Amino acid sequence: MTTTGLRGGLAVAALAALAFLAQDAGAQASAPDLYVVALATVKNVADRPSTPIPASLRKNKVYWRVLRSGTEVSYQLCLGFFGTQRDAESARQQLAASFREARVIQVSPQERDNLEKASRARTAAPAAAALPPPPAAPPTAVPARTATPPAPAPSAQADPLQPAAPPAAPALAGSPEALMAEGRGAIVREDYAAAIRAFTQLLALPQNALTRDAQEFLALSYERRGDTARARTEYEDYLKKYPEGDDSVRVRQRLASLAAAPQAEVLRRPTEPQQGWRSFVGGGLSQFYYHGNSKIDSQPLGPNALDRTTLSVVDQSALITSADLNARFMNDTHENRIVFRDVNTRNFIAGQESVNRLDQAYYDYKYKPANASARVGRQPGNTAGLPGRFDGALLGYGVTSSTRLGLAAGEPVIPGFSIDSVQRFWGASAELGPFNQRWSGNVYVFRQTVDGIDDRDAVGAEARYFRPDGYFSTTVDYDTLFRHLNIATAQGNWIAPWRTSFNILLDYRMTPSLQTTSAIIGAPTTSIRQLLAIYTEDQLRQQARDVTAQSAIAYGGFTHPVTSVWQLGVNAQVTRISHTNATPNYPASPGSGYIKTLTSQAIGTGVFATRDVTVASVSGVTADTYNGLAGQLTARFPVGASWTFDGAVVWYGQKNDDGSTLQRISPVGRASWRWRNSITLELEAGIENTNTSSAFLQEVTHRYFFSAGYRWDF
Amino acid sequence: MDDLALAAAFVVALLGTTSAAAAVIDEIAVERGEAAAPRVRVKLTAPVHYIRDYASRNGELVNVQLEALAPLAPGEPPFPDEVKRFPGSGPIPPFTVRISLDPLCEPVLNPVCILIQYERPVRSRVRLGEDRRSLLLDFPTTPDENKHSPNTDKKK
Repeated sequence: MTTTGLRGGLAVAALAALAFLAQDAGAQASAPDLYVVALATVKNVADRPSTPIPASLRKNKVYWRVLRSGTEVSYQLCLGFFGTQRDAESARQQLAASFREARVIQVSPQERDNLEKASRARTAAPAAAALPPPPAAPPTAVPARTATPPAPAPSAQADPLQPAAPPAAPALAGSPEALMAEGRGAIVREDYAAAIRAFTQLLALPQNALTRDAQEFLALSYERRGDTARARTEYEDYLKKYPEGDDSVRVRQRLASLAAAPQAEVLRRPTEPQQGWRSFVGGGLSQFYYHGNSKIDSQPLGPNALDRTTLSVVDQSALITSADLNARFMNDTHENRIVFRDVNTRNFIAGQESVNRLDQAYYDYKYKPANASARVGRQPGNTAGLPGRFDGALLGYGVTSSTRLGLAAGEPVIPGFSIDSVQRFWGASAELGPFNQRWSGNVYVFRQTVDGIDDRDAVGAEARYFRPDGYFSTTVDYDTLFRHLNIATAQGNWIAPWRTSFNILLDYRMTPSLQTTSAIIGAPTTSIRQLLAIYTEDQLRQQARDVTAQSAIAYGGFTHPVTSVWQLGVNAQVTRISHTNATPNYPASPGSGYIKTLTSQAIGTGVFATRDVTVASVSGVTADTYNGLAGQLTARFPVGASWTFDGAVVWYGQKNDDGSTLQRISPVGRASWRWRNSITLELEAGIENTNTSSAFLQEVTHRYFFSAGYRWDF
Repeated sequence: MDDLALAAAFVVALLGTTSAAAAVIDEIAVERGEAAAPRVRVKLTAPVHYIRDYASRNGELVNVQLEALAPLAPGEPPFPDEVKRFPGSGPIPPFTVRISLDPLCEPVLNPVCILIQYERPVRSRVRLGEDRRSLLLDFPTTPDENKHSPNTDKKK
């Protein structure tokens, strides 16, 4: 439920009674302050997150505080009360896994006392008679609920537990107002049986100002209780009676949500405490056949030119099968996950090998209260200096809410490749933050050996600054073995208030990454052990360094919406890859020089209908030895509920300093059809015409290609 | 010479600092976002740089253009696209994520082009996760005209 109308539901007895118990505050003013853990802040109490409270904290109270900033109201879900800040901080750490934004705040003893008194008042008096209208939204004046203002800024002046409006006079028992208050209060208390009784009684009364809301709340109560069929009936009934208006839009959305009811990983409501184990199994299987055929027509030029030749060849014929499995078994404390992903390529062209690539096969366990985790098997790395993929173990443990230690060990893996050397690594890291909800980062050390000698020793750090309208981050990786900077990166993005999106990237890195194993490039063996019989360690490292280039990228760009349909973007990029030196086994290679690219893009959304996306772009490239110009037009549009069509035309022209030229044009189309939400059939086809011309040769390549297959998602 | 080329290709792949296979999506998980709004985190297997995102007018299609800081599939052809399906959860409709590493999909060095196709129109917002290796799909519960993916219910 996403209505501010439910703000009124906040009138649980605790809060409702506070208004008339406020006078007791003075008596408590001199008592020492208390501490609570603010778990989350929401605009509506109906959006209350699930609250998996550890057993050790269940003696504490979970309650709402009201935050007011000007005319805006939000609600803070809190766990209290704690006599010392240390106790509260300890509780917050236990809850950090479930409530990342949780923080400790200081409250007055009055808040606790008021809550207790309100609880006593609630149990002592009949709800309908005792409950005054909710402080934020009196039932007789339901605000436009789709116009909920944004949540107040974190710095908003909170006025905890102090209703802005004076309490209204208690409604008469059995009146629409009293029933509405009773029903809303029951929703907040998660007593849906009582809520359904109250709203049903209200709907039995003659038509009144609250009938419409009662119909919606009744449906909501059934939905929260898990009675989807009855909720659907009540929502449909609502739409029959009230087809127009913002509220009807919302009800349609809720009805659609019911229609798309999930099979797993349901976003939990507070009314559905997930105390038992639950499981989820998903994945997919796909098979696609790829075929490509090239016809090359070559015409040598010049006085002694040979005859024209034509070559036609099948350059691609492969069946690619992908299997993907993801299984979870979890409760509120433990989470077990098994992941398997494999890609098999069956090549039908003689001389081209068929390969199987096991991308991922790991078991992952999380113990949420301690923010601890363990992952074992073939898994992705790419963090804290770890290789992109490895066989091994990765452990993590949250020592505090802002510090998480990691330990990894294993062997790097390149699916489809193997070398006659043994690489092993270990790494340790500390993930830090968030601090002030903005800053985070990590520091790490990493050491890898190959055949018993040092392969890569690195230390690194990463700093990140995030806010809702942008981010900036920087990464440094320094190799202590080679005594050389391996990676230095800075990147950022900012969306300005006028909706222009800026982004920038500065990246320097050794490519490939510095490590002794690079010495096998060009060597007659892939065994470092065998190379050590010929070269010393220092010589191998020098060879590794000689074949390692330096890559540098500077990129900047912006995108700005110019109309409701079109946005324009401009990007500029400069890249450079340095030369490499010759080794006894591998020749030197020249550097790329500076390659400068300027691109402008026009992005149209809804050019032809509400569902299409069209992108046109033009790029100019300038390099030391050539200039190029590229144009591209792509469009994508779903048709009906099952079809999606994609189309693209790409053109590229290049003029080299030696006078030769290249022109290429390639139209491609793709159609996909989805059947019963689980099977997708896809067909893609295209052609590519390339024309190269020099003083000695004119060559035309005509290539056509297609792919066809299916994907089964389960 | 073939061995030399093979060894060179191998090492480029081996030492590419990122995953050698184009398995870009690690996991799709449901979270609570700001103000407890529904959120999906698409976890990636490597850190990326955000370039831009744009959506169809009804929010059904969302394109996200990213750049990997190092090749995600060095030495491999840019096919096939990686596709994963999310079954939906509560107010979040089912959707399909398609990832293309086709060098033509964005004029940067290591493009990662993501197409998210929802099964029905939805208002969503995309941004890069604070870890730089995930995409956050937020489904705000209140209208915001500044969102990239407007709600069809608000359109003509």
